[in-house]
Amino acid sequence: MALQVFDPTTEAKEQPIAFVPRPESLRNVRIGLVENTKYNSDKLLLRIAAILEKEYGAQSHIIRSKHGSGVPAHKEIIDEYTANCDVVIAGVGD
Amino acid sequence: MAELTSQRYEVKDMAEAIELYYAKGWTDGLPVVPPTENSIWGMLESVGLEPEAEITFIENRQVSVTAEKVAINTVMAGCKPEYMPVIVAAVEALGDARFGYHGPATSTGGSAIFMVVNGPIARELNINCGDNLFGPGWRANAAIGRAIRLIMRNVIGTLPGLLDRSSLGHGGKYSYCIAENETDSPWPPLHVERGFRPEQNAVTLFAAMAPHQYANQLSATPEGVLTTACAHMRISAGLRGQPQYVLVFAGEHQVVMAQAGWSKDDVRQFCFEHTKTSQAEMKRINVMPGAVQPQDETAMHTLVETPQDFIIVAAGGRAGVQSAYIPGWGGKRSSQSVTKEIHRL
Repeated sequence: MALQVFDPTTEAKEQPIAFVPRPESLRNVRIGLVENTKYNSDKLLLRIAAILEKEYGAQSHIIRSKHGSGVPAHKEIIDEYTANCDVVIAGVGD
Repeated sequence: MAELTSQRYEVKDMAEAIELYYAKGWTDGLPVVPPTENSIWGMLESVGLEPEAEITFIENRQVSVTAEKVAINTVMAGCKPEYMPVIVAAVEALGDARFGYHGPATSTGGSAIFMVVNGPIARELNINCGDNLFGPGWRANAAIGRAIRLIMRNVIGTLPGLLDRSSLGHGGKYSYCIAENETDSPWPPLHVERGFRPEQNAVTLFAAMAPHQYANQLSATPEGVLTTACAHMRISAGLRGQPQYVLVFAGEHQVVMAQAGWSKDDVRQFCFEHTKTSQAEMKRINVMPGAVQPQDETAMHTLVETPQDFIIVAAGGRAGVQSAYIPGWGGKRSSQSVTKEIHRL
């Protein structure tokens, strides 16, 4: 006898993400670095910031750490970067 | 009356249905029970939920976990309808911000979802809390844990190699569900410690590595047994990240604690003090960077942030001198154990 069986899967919803326009140049921008707490991620991000400042004319940088690598940046970081930064660099490294 | 909205497939028999689910990539590698209209409704009616009811929303995945999809996967895992309230509560816990789904589900660290069921429902559903605790042989343990993994896979998209990047994983990723032995335990049950009444039912979820067994047949004192436990734990998977740890005490070790009158807090405090590791040792074994400095010999790192981060469960066979500890995944700041009440009609 024929059977009717059902699909167990779900599709993720489309997630609208509002991107700010990319800056035309990195000259004089203020950089926010999101450190993810893994070993050496601070060193890597600071090295990137130094290159952007020296070779691309970025003005300054600040670095703040998330509470953990598996969680999003917390509100204080987002508020501070919204107020004081023009570009943000984030990444997950192991 | 509401209708099921999931896509339907016509097959000629059960064997063809089982192969369809393999072909679609919808199993954990074992055959599933093909979900039919009747069996899905049986699950939904056991909890009084309409198919479209949202049980949780996984923010990182932007996925709404509906009762219909939970019911389908619960049938597939081999559950009876009376298991469904446990599954619903566990899915609520998966979506709790304190559990932090994204980290433990995705990490190369390879954790599984360890579940401890407390309250009368554990005995009514015959969820094993005794012999062969983490092994096979009990339908409820096997099917409830399996249902959660199938929901993670099929509904939340936690597919090995894609959004589940575990380097190794472990057997608990098939199923990792136990009950606490509330009858023989010398202590208040886990859910009572967490604010529930004894007659309430609850499930605790914990992003967990595999159980590590230790043996102590020489000691008749808590200090003796726990010194062995701490020696095993001191340099263990969670050393650097300070996750929570579950301590599972089986029958003979429960008796040792009971005869000495040690409370769960006594056990926690002893383990907190005796699992500290010096920074020097952490550097020598390469879990902390840098050269050993003289002050590192006396700078102590605790295994967990606070004594309360040792979660104590009485379970396992009455005979034998084995107990186990289970390191949590990552760190407490990324994922914490969560307890939810199980609601029944």
